[in-house]
Amino acid sequence: MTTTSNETFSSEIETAISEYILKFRAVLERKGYDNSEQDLIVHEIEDSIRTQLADSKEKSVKTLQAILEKMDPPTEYSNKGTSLKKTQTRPSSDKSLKTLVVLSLFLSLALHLVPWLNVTHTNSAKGILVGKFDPETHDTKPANEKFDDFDYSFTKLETPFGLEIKPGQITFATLAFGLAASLLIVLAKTERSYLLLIQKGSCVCILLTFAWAFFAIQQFDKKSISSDTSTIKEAQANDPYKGSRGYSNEANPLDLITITTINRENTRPHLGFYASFFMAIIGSVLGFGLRSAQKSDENSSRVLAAEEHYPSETSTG
Amino acid sequence: MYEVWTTQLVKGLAELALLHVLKQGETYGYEVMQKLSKYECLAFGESTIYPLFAKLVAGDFISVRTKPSNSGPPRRYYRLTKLGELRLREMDAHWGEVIKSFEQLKESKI
Repeated sequence: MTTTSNETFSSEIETAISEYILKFRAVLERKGYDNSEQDLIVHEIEDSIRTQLADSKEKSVKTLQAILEKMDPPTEYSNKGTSLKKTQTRPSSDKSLKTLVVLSLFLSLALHLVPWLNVTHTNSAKGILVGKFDPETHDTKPANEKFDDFDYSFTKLETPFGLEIKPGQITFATLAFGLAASLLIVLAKTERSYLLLIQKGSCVCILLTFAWAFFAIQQFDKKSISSDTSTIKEAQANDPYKGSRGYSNEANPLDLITITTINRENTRPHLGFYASFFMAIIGSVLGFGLRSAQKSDENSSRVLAAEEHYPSETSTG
Repeated sequence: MYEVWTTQLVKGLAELALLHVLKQGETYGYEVMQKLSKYECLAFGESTIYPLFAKLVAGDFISVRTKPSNSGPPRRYYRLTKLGELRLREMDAHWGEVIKSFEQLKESKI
């Protein structure tokens, strides 16, 4: 091995080397190498040329040309630069994400704008509370333990945000799903413009779902309560349960009691709730999808970085 | 097809090979090419090795200094940095795992 690369050659050879290096640098520049990379590569090329030329017996332009032919031409250097630095995603991933977004947006719009989709389902319940009438306090106290036999399934709707509410549980689950979906979407950070758009679209979708669910929950519970004081005998005559509950059989039929009638209308936007639930699930899927896409991008970036690192056309000789 | 596969295979090894050469001591580009050319499967072209030098310098895995010469332009000498040594150890370890896995795969009858 020789280290005599710094010899000066004939002006003809020096000119040829200079021209070659200039052209070499121009190609590297077109391929996206920055100045420091160009400097380093060009310096090494020149050093390599000079060393080989110095080692050769005949120091002529012809020898120089033979040396250059054996070396990798500048076009062999990896095509790096802006085009390779762009991130890419798998088309299938893009397609499924877009489909989900379109579907989700469509459902959202349909729920909010198309009246016939807001189908409501109404359950009615009528209950009678019977108790001993207290003339001093005008209170009604349960006559006996059987008072608890009253069908409470609907009275538990009284507090719309309480966990005991059956439809409320659905709503809370919807909100939880939506919240999780939003969180996932926020976590799925990406710098790509169209994915940002997807994120925003999904967020809007989920926010609309939240708003709709909040509106819907207000419509749950309508009740009217009326009280009347009468004798047990009268109450028995009007009682749909035919006197089987609410008061003792041993009571005086002429005792005054209070009959409280509760009329409850439970209106549920049936389809809407299922749809909002469905949309929240879509949101979650979108969130996961975006995260997957992000991971896929990271992997692609790594691959592309590796491609930048290792020239695509590796010469083995 | 076979050539494509062999090219792709050695492509990933260029950096490891270069770091191993630099581990032996400070050296310059052409000398690295000469050393690698002694190994048939590691005889990379300039278009592979020289851009790698640039990348490794940019990543602080190798340092460069120029030595003035009596005539002509100065020559650049490269040396492995601490970070480069660490990277080499990691790459060696991973390469060892790859070899080991392949041996296990070949011996496996599943």
